[in-house]
Amino acid sequence: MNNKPAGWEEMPAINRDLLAPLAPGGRGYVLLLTLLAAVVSAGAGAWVYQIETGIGQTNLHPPIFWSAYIASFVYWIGVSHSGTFISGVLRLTKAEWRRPITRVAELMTIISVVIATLFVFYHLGRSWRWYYLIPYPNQREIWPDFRSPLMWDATAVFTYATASTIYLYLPLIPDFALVRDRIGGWRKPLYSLLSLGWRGSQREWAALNTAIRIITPLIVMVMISVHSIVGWDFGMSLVPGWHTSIIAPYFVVGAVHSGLGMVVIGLYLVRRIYRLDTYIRLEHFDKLGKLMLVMTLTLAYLYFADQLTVWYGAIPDHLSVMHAVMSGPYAVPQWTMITLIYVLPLITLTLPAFRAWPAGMLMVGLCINVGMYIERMLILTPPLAHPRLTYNWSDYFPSWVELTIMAGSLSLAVLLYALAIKFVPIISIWEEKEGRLHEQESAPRRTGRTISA
Amino acid sequence: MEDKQGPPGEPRPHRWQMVIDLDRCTGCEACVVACHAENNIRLSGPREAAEGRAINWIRIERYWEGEYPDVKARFMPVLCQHCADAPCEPVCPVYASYHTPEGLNAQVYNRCIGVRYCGNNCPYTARQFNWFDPQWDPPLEQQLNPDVTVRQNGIMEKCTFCVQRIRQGKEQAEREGRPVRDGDITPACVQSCPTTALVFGDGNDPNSRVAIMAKSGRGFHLLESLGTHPAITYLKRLDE
Amino acid sequence: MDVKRRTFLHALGLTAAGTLLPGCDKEIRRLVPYILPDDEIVPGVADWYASTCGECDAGCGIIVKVMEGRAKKIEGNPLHPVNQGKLCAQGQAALQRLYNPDRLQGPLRRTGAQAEHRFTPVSWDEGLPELADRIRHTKGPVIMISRPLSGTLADVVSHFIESVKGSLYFYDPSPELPLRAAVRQAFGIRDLPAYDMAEADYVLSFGAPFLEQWLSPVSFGIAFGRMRQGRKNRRGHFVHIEPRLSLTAASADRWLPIRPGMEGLLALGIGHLLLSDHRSSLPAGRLPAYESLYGGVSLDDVAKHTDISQADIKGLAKSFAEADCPLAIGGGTACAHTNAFESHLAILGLNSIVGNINRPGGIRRYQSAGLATHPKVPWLSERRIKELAQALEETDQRPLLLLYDCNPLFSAPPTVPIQRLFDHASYIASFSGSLDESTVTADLILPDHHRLETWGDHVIGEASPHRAASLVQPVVVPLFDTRGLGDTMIDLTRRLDGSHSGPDSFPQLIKDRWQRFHTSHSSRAHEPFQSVWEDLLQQGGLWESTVTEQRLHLSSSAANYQPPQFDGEAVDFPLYFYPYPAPSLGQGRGANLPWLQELPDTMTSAVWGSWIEINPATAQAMGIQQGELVRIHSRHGSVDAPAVHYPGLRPDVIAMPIGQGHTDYGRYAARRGANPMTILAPLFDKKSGALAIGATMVRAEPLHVPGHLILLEKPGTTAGGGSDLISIERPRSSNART
Ligand SMILES: Nc1nc2c(c(=O)[nH]1)N[C@H]1C(S)=C(S)[C@@H](COP(=O)(O)OP(=O)(O)OC[C@H]3O[C@@H](n4cnc5c(=O)[nH]c(N)nc54)[C@H](O)[C@@H]3O)O[C@H]1N2
Ligand code: SF4
Ligand code: SF4
Ligand code: SF4
Ligand code: SF4
Ligand code: SF4
Repeated sequence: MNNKPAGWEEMPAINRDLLAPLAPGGRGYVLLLTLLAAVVSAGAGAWVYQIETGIGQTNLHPPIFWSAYIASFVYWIGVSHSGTFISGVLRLTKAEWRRPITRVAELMTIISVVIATLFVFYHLGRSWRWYYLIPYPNQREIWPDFRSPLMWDATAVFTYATASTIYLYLPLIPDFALVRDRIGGWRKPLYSLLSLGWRGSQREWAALNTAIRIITPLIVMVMISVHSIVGWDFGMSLVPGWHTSIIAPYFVVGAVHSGLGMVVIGLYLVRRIYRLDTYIRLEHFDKLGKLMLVMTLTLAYLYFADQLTVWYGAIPDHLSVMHAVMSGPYAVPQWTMITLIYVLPLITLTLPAFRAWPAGMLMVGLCINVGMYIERMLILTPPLAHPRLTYNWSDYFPSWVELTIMAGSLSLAVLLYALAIKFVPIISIWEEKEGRLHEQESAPRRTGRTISA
Repeated sequence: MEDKQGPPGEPRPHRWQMVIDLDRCTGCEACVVACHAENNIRLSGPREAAEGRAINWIRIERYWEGEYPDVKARFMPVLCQHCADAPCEPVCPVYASYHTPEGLNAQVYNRCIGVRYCGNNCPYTARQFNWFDPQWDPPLEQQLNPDVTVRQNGIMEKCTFCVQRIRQGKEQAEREGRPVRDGDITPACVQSCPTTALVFGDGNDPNSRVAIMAKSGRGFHLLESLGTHPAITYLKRLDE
Repeated sequence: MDVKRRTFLHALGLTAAGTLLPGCDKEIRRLVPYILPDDEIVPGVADWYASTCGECDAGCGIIVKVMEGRAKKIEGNPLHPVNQGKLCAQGQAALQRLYNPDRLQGPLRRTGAQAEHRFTPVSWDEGLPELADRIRHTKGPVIMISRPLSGTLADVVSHFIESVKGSLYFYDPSPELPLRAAVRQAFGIRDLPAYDMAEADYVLSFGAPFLEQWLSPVSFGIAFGRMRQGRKNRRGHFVHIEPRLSLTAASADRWLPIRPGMEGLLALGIGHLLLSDHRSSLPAGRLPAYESLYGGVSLDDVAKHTDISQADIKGLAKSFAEADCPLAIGGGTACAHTNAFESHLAILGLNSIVGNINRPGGIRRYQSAGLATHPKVPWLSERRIKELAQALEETDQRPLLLLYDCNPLFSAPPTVPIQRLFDHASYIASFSGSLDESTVTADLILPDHHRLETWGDHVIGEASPHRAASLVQPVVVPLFDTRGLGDTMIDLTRRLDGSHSGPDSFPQLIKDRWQRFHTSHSSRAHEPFQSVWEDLLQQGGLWESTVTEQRLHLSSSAANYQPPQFDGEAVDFPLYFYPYPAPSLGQGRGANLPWLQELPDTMTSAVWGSWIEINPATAQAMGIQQGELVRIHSRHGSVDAPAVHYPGLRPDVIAMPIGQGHTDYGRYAARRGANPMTILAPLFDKKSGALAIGATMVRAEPLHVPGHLILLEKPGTTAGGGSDLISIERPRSSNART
């Protein structure tokens, strides 16, 4: 066959469009980086101050031993589900439309896992003793206690971070090779190293595809387990309002909910800034919108099921938490949260026209994420603030140190993302090309395509 | 109540327990100062107290009942219950909260990294945290008890049943070549309590005061339904 | 200094004091100064020394844990009859008085004007001659105001004051003078009798805060515990009558919120019923006197004025009459009104009517022999302050004022002209150990040792059925350049009369006195005194052989009941003001000890400050939020404090703890909270002259700004209050009455 495959002529344009973001950024970009770096430094300064003077720089106090940092940890782990869910689940189900958006999402995963991990360190009373959590051999034979959900959590997050790094990296190899061949200067050797000498041989492609096929289902399982375990950090406790069996699925779905919202935000910005309208199309917003709708409904269902049991069961210890949230001191954030993560998405995303409006989708994504951050705070704080001995009831609002560290971490996430865009092609080039080929092949024969290789 | 701690079959000579008679407690708080003096509990100061961070290993919770003029105040001394099935123990990732063979919930300060999960999971809010390094205006620090560690910033702490006094009592008995007698060992709070609302002893000794009193018909455990199997038995207050 | 100290101790041969830990071997350890490490100090091994608590006048026996020369912990002396090994919060906090960062470290002389509070250190060799000189040349009278003293120190001080022809007064902010006056009239004795509460089975308390800082708190605590659960199948019943549900009332089976000042009237009503129902066990000859006291009231009036229903009054009378061992006691609020003396006569009389005098469970009297030479020093009542100030001003005499360990400028209200007395003084010297509001006005300060650094003895047992002669011995080397008051007095006496007679030193004097005491009273009189002395020091004092029970005899019960007087018209000042001693700070003396500042008030959980208590219904009617700053006005001034909604308070009463609001007295006390005494009216109990602290009427004005209210309940919030007992008491069986 000397016929060039259909769509062959599009390839140079794809290369050009998708490599363009790697070019050095303009003044706006530098300004953004400076701004972000300033906020990150403020956060870092606050953390140093907190270590220097004591964890008392937070507003935590008995009985509220956990709050903003752990809520942020949960939130960022949630965001990290964007990558795995979008790319893993969609890859698994062979959803063709996933191609332009997997990389956007996968990058988010890595960065938010890093940010989430940072929150664990902010939270430790003696962060300089963090290594006690590692089972290292020692003379006294003292080991961490693997009965603690926190150890499961540490293990799971570590596994997840490792696996998603690999998962991000594997499909990057051909793209790195592409960049290597088209770039000069100091970056060339770096990309040569990262592309592991990729030449694009048949064997290499076969190996890559096999590796991706193996790791994809694994990463999805890890993803589900990770957020289940994060949920069990709470569910395994005796704290009224935490101790519920629904908490693991609820956390997983909640994570995906915020993750999808975050992907929409990322897609919108990448598309807008780098004018990638031909790659990230309205179809993507529409499909993501539908997914988000499903997640909204699932999450709402789980939430309802949980609250109904609490309300009907009417165990005083549990009910007091519910009352505090629904009509007590936390009512304002609670109903804001309900509006942001359930009501607004439900109203908007059911309208097909809305789903095809990227700016609207951006706003829903923002709402969901703000709402989910509040939701994480509300899962954490009110139950702790209402212990069984009512003499110790209390309340909490983050201190300026906590708020600064949270803002610094958010900026760090954006900063890392902005830097990553200059370093990895933000849309998987070879997968996009592969997609175009599949499209060309399948377009004329609507009756079905051969799936076998 | 089954004590599930420790390997089966191994002899456990003591199981330290306490009885708190609510019909005697007058809320005088002699126990609170006694505990501070014995256990080097930090001076929190007005600022930390206002932030809700004042550390007390034992506190007298006061619950109002009814409305004027038929109003009653009830006192509930709350300290670590030394639960046989302590919810604070399995959740600690580094074994800093652990159970001794004698039934104490021990806190290993050196090991604690300040995750504070234990604090969340203690249903009695018994656990207290050091949010800052402690400070004593000189020469107040000369009072510090050398038998007890001063806890630094970032560490969880709580009632130890005055483990240092238990150890001293046992060592004394050993030196004298005799078993520990009932009443030999009194934690600081028990020692001071004017009304003898607090009684401490070895639950494994059926003739000890604590074992006998714990069988009283007035006895109950705090939040008994949680199944934490506390080592402290409360005796209900009697009144009309 | 240390070497001197050591030789001094050895010279006295005072090497005793063994360990009292149960089971510890009775090996005698020497008292060794820290700076000179001795071979016999074992690092890490504690020595325990017996002594006597000086934080209040109850005089509980203590044992002090000393390690490497430093006092580490104070516990109750298990051998001591008054407190039987127990100790109150204040007693334990004495350590923080010893190590207080604001303790005076040596003699000071004032430089500059009085208001400037500037002092320069001087040596004892400068200070003592200066004071002697001043006393020698003073034109006005020498007046010494001291906390109540006992034992040898009381003798030495009164001897000194006699020798300079001065007057000595004991001053205590709550000495229960009306009760003392009533006891004197009813039984003809000067000191208070013992209430045998442990054996009582029905305690009717008219405001007596016996589970707080009242007379002998630890011994009452012990007795209360026994009364409740110390006897098989016999649980004493306790009814408390007070406008406020106090800490003491909280332990009662029944609390009756009486209208302020009506305690006596209620007692009259009960007595009336007892007499008219022929439940009296008085001898016939005494009956008429009682009938004239109790007969004049009608039950209607009593119910109307006390706010306690007739049914309740009848119930009280019935239970009181039917109990095997009833006991009526009065104090606290019953001492707080202009009719307090008559009220107490009526309350004490209830005991006589049911015949529980000299009986177990009733009112008894014990006396210690020998050392119990309680000098008949007059109390400085608030009325006497006023009279004294007026007399001095009229005759234009400028007194030389000596102060010891009391703080009248803080604890007496400004309407009692205490300030004038101070202003009028030609010279003020203080022997107190810290710069409180009174001592800060002094021209010269010669600070006393702390209790744990000094020698002394104490004869004790008021109100407690246990009497003892208790010893005070130094357990640590003095931290600073201070001197015991006893030695200062001996030194001054010697300088003033120029002789070298008299005792060498105060410790020697104590030992001599105890030696004489021992030869006449101890079963060990034949033994050499040195070994007895060591045993006494080791035990902490002497008790068994010195105490005898003496019969109380009813003397007169004649009194004319008077209704209480109040200051302030109801239109402008509709609320009763009810200041009460904060259980932890004890009239303000404890305010400089951080442990006590941080000790939550059990009823409100408040720490580190003042508050006012207001019934939630009243608060709601006036729009006063919990934690909001409220200004309380009386005719004599106003005081600001955050509000606490207090369900256990009459709606027509504003209560406020006494103890905060210091302007001086060290870093922990100064500029914290407010002092309710500053707005009190100068009304007195007619008989005893004690300030009627409950006689001021006030008005409350919300200031609509948050106050500085720190609660440990609902930590980190000022919510407090509404904690619910979510059925945490779940007894195993329902027949819990054993
Ligand atoms: N009388 C006397 N005193 C001495 C010395 C002497 O020779 N004689 N030598 C001096 C010298 S050189 C030294 S180094 C010091 C040593 O003094 P220390 O440091 O006190 O040493 P040890 O007494 O050996 O051990 C202290 C405690 O650690 C416990 N321990 C053992 N393993 C562990 C563990 O894994 N975790 C925890 N938490 N505890 C553990 C032991 O049971 C023991 O109770 O003593 C000094 N003091
Ligand atoms: S009371 Fe709390 S801290 Fe104590 S053992 Fe039980 S769970 Fe642990
Ligand atoms: S705070 Fe300390 S004891 Fe508690 S869970 Fe964390 S490491 Fe363990
Ligand atoms: S047992 Fe000891 S540590 Fe526990 S509350 Fe009592 S005094 Fe404090
Ligand atoms: S010392 Fe005894 S009576 Fe006083 S508060 Fe404590 S437990 Fe209650
Ligand atoms: S009652 Fe008085 S003497 Fe006794 S311990 Fe308390 S303060 Fe000291």
